[in-house]
Amino acid sequence: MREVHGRTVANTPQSVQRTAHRGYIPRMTEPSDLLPNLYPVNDYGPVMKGLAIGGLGIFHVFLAQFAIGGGFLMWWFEWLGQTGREPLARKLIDSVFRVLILLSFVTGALTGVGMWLTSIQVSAQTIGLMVDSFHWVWATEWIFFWLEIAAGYAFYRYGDRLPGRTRLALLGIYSIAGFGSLFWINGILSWQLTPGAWIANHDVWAGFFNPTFWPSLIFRTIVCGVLAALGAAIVINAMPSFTRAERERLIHRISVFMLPMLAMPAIAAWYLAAMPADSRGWIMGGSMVMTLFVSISAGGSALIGGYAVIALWRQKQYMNGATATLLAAIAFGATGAGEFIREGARKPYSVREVLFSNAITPAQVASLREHGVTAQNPYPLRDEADYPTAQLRKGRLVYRSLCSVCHTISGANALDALMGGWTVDQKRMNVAMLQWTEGFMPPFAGNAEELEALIQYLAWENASRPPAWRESNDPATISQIKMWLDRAGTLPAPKAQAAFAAEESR
Amino acid sequence: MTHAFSQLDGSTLFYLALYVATMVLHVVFMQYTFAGTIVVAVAAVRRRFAPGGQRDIVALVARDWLPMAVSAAITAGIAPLLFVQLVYQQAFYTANLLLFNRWMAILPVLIAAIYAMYLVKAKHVADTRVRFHRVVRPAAAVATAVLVGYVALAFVENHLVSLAPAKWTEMYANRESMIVSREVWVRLVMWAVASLPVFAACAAWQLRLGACGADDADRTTASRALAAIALVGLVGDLATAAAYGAVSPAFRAAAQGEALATGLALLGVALAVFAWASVLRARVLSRAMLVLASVGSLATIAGMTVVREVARALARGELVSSRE
Repeated sequence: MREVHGRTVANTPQSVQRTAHRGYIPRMTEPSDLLPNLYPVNDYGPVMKGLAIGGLGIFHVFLAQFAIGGGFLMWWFEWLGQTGREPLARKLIDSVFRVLILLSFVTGALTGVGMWLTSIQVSAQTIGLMVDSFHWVWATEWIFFWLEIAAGYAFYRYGDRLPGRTRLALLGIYSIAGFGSLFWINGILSWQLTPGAWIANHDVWAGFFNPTFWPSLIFRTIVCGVLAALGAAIVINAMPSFTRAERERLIHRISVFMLPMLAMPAIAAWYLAAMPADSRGWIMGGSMVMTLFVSISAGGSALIGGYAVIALWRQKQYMNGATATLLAAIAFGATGAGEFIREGARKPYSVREVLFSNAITPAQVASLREHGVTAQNPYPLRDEADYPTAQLRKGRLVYRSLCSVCHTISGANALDALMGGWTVDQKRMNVAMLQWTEGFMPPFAGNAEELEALIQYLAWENASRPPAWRESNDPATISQIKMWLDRAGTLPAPKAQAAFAAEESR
Repeated sequence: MTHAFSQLDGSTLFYLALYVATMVLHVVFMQYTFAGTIVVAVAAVRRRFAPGGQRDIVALVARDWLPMAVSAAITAGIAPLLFVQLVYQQAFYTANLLLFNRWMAILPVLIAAIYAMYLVKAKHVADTRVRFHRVVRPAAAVATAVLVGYVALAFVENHLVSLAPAKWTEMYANRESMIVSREVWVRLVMWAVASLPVFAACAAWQLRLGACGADDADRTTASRALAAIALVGLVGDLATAAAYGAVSPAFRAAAQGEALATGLALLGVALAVFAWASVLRARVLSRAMLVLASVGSLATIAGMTVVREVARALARGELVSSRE
């Protein structure tokens, strides 16, 4: 048993958890309950963990939004068909619906579950907090999943035998249920960037209807329509039974679903205005990578929107299969860039103001500065024998606890590449004052000895892991690091800078 | 109420009850899928080596409905997946992380399994005069059963790892898993045989409702096959539960200690045995017997799900008390 963070805990994950949470079977109900190093960490080699969740997320979002828009497109065509406005509607619905079922019910649904499981792999603390805070929202979304799957399968299996009104009703339920799932998940995802009043009162609805909820929902809804139209255009072109004239007419009809793109600039501006100022700063030039992704997203959307409005709607031009596929690929790129922006703009948080990307809470930083982040870690290094000194082992543990969620040693977003050109003293100062070095980085959450261990570990990795390495125990160095840490403070940017300025002015 | 449950606070009990209730729903669809893939695979292989003969209406129904069943199983599985994250968050997450790539493999494996299910029922590979078709369908059917079996194995392993916090540090340090443990395999077989009576009951209802154009002759033929499948499963239930009790002290203690849940499960088995024996004798899928078989299966699932949670609570409780 030992004293850590003001609590008496034993050095086992089970008892750590029992101490931290109420009840026999523990549940995390408060962010302050979260403890660092609660979970084992896996090494992804040269692959950044964000790539795993980002790659799957983009794929899932693209498929899910296509399915939601597809539902409304089918419902509209069913209505056109039943009212005699479009004689080809039935034929189109029967074809597109099969694609919807095969893609969205299988790959879409499974990548949705996959998002949960991948989130656990990348940051169990983050998804745990999200589940604890919004489980009733997720449970409600589950009801919508059931409605969607029941209506979808009923239409798929019995649609050709059902009367018109029932077909329309089933497609309506399918569409509304699909949109419902977007509505519910949108509240949780936008909460991560702008938790709003939830921070103060922990009220579920305050967090759900947060400042970016509506612009995000409207933006995504427009994207759903665009993806559905492009998907339908590919199917229409792939169906040999349609004549050229019939295809032209159908493509002109589906282009209506792309017209709301005209509102995208205004919605994007609304979204930007609702974002925290520092996040907005990153994507509007503060971070060139982020700005580049904004440009890709905006440029791709402008291309698709311009083509839809000018070529398809005004000039009534024909869109062949190759063009539709190319536009769908551009839409995929724009969706991917948009999701990257959404994830990146949150930095240094995974839940703004509540949890940093490395699963440390802002409130824990001061305590970890004193006690260290490696003191309470039940999971040892898997390759301890590979490290020639105890200091390097400690450095590796610090890297694993604080850095590895976003960085690798020499792969994607590599620390070798980012810090390799710095002098050792520069590394010490820049890491000690991390939130000053880069505003989208969290404050360093360990003590001075751990920081020095991290610097030595990175230098050792940078030197291609030599078999012998001298320990760095100079008290003057540790004292200097402590001074930098104290000067940096424990607050993240821009609060750290504001606090420093206020102190200076006094 | 067991000692383990009596220690829970009200809100945890509430979430645990929701977990158990939604888990029962998930298990019904999951067991239809699990057994259905086995039935379809066996039928496809038999037909490959002994073409001709009567059509296997049970396999036809399963083949036709498996994609829907697995979608329903996945959708139904979301709720218990949500509640397990609330009630057993640390244990569930740690097991996920310790099993890492082998656990995460369930996603591509399931996607492959579902597309294989669609391939098995596709008309494009139904022409038995074409040599390629004669190979593709049984191969896809066997692949489906193997892939779904892998998913079942991964879930069993995940559950057992989550119950063993004393081993977590060692497992992590040495990159160990529990796949070689006897407990994993006995538990997997227990799940597999338990899925047979559930599948039989669901398929029987589908045939009664005329699935795949089933007529009276089909139903008579199917009644014998389904009764045989169910009875094998029910006898297997008892045998594998006894075997699992021998390798898992927590399960044995839970089954003995939670008399109401164990009694419910056994009563369910007894009802189902009676119902299926009657079907076998009469060669008729009567409504009364199917109601009885279904109620029996549901009672068994409900009872066993409660026993499963008591075993989990006991395993964790014993561990904590021994440390304290």
